[in-house]
Amino acid sequence: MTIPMPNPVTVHSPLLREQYTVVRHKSGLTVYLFSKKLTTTYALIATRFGSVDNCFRVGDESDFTTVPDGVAHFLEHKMFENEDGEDTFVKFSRTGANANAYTGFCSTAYLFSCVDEVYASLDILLRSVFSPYFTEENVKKEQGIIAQEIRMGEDDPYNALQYGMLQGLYEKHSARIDIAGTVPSILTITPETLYRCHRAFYNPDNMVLCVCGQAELDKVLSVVDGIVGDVTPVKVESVYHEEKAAAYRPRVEKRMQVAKPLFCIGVKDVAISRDPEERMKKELAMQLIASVCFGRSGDFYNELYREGLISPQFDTWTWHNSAFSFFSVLGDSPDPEEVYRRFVSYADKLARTPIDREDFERCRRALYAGFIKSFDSTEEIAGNLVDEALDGCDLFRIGELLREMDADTVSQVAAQLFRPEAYTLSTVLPVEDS
Amino acid sequence: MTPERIELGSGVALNLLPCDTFKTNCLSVTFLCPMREDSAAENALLPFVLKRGTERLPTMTALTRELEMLYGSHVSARVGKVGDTQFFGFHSSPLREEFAEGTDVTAKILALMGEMIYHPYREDGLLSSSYTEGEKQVMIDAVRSRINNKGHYALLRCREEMCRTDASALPETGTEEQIAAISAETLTARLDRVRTTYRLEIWCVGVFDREALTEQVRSIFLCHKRQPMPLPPHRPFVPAEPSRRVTEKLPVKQGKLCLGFGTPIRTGHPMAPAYTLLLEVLSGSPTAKLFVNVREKESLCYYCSGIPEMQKGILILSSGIEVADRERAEAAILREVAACCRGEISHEEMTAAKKAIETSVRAMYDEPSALISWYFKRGLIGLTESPLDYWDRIATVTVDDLAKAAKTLSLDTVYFLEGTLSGEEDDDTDA
Repeated sequence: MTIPMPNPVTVHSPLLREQYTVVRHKSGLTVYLFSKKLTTTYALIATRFGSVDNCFRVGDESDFTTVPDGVAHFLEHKMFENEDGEDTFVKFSRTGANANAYTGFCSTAYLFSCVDEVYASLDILLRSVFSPYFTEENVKKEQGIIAQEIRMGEDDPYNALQYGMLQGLYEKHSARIDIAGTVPSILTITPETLYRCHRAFYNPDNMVLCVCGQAELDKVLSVVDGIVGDVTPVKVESVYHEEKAAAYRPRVEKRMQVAKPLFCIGVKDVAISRDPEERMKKELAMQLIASVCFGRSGDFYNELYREGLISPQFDTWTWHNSAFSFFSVLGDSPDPEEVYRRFVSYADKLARTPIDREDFERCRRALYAGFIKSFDSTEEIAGNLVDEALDGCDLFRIGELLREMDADTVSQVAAQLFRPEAYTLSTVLPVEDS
Repeated sequence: MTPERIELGSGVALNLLPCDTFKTNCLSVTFLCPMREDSAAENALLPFVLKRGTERLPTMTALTRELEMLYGSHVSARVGKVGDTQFFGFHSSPLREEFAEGTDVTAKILALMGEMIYHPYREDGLLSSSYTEGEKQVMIDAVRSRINNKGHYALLRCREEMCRTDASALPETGTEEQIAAISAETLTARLDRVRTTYRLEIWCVGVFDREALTEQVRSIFLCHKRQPMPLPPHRPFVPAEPSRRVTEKLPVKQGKLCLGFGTPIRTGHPMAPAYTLLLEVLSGSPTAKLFVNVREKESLCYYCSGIPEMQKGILILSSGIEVADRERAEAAILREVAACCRGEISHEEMTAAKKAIETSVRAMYDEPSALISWYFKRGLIGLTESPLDYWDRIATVTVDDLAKAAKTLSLDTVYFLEGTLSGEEDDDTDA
């Protein structure tokens, strides 16, 4: 990633009346300090290693390594176990910090919030993340716990619905794989697999740290120095399957214990720019399409709602970063096929007709207000800042881009996005009465 | 930060908490009444129908557009129950004036909530029957969809079984049949009763002009004659002797085990601080007994959480397990409860639990809606203690106090949702 020189840099946003400082540490770790006068200080460190990263190579290796599905998530579960036999949560319990971790498609994050003892807690967090400790025994134990987590997900109809949509869009891209993997896939994970992934992805050069709240930069950097001071940066490269522009399958259907059919219509998008700023712009345009065209004030929602075809459960889910991109709408309906027909004809109109300027302006304002509101919580700030940084972007730019955005840009993205061959319909239908 | 409570008379109270930490204010208008079979569903449906349109903005499209112009504000309808009290109304987090180019969004949103309540869209003098029918269907679907989230469904079912002779067992929205029986006529009549006889609590946290806001509240909510009905005290839950077992089968993969306990310790009880600490030691965090022993040592589950209902004196310990592990999991969970009763709590566990509570109590001051919820629930029984004062009492709790609190727990119901799909089978129709 490119960080503006000199090092460190303080970035102000007069718009938000906020500022942060970013430092590129010699280990390669990118460190953000966002000052915020709230009671809670929040710290989050994340690596560019998510469920989609199942094929990679490190440094100048010639071959790519493939690892079992669900390994990033499995690794996340194991990072809070330590060689001294004391769980990281126990260590955090002494500083009173509230810790957690999560794995997504493209990243894994470890975090804590606290009301005091920030630096002691930061030391615990970084020490845990950079000191792997995996044994046959502790891996086996985790397989039981994660199996229950997977079972829980398998019983969740919305989980099945959304993965169904991704499996409809993608033939081979790893976005179609459940973040947690499957029970058989996690049973093949060994301590060696975990060490290999840790070496590749948990090197500071591939990671971003953000402390948001009441903290001082010097003290944060001194904790970082104490833990990764001597580490030399390593480059890691993931490879994703190149997909066709058309959806893999037009329909994916599952039957589960649900009260009413669920639908998720996915739109595949393979036009992803290499320029982070272009990606950010397109992501915002996709969010604006979601609110202008499929939001609560739009014709699509209101017509279908009045006819009883959709309910307030109706929502949109968009995703756009360097790894993959899609647009989707989802909800429950007595007639998913009718919702799909209406979607296809509405999307066809969107692709051909410019977006109404007044509608655009209203939704732009709402999205902008939402962005401002997100700066009320140290948790949201740190999460959003790191998410953007991992994809090479700057959080404050979102506010500026939202002010610069015009209806024509959004119309152009809609015209490029909505092509019938890119659509898939995923449904979860009630189990038939026996 | 302590809220100021202004009793405006006729059962209307305005609660104000000035603070300039946030870019948004927090505003809510909430009606209160006893949870009753003959009114629960109508009360619950009302805010959703009122939110469909007003005289000035008769459609959902017009209303949403107005809200979008008010800097992306949302007005959400809320329904819930606390013990034997049902509450419902509207909530919003409007952008502060200085971030909204000088527009007093908070005052405009409050006015809009007033319009929804006093000037709703009507047809021939009644609330719209198409809006009523539409929202009824949505609410019936929501009641039926409870089954989609199996963990939550198991909790609700366990709670229902425990309180089956009590109106508080009703879902907060009423039952499907009660919702289906509503008409535009009955709902309009209900709205009249709500406006004249239900207690009303209004909250505003953030930056506002105290006098102007009070005047606006008076002019909206006190221009009609009101005769508020009193709220009866919460009836405590009385656990059954001996405990009952309820098993339900569903075609899912994972079993859900819920152990439902009763306790005489409720909000305001002298042992409440010890009980709060007990919950933390037992299930509050990854260093809690259930997490460390049932999940980490025995690998029995992914989650094992305690869900307390302090107003009723109910605690449900809930987890998702392999069906075959049912007896082992139940024994493992009860073993941890028994250890608490015997006072087998290390110094480290006590310190960790206290630290964790201190962190979450202090963190509440970063979240206006958490503070409102705290004061609102306690206000129902006349308590005004601040979160930090409550924390001061928790800080002095001893292991003995905690063991005494644990001994009050009495197992009432063991509810098991038995998954009938074998764990290994793969039922995805991925082809």
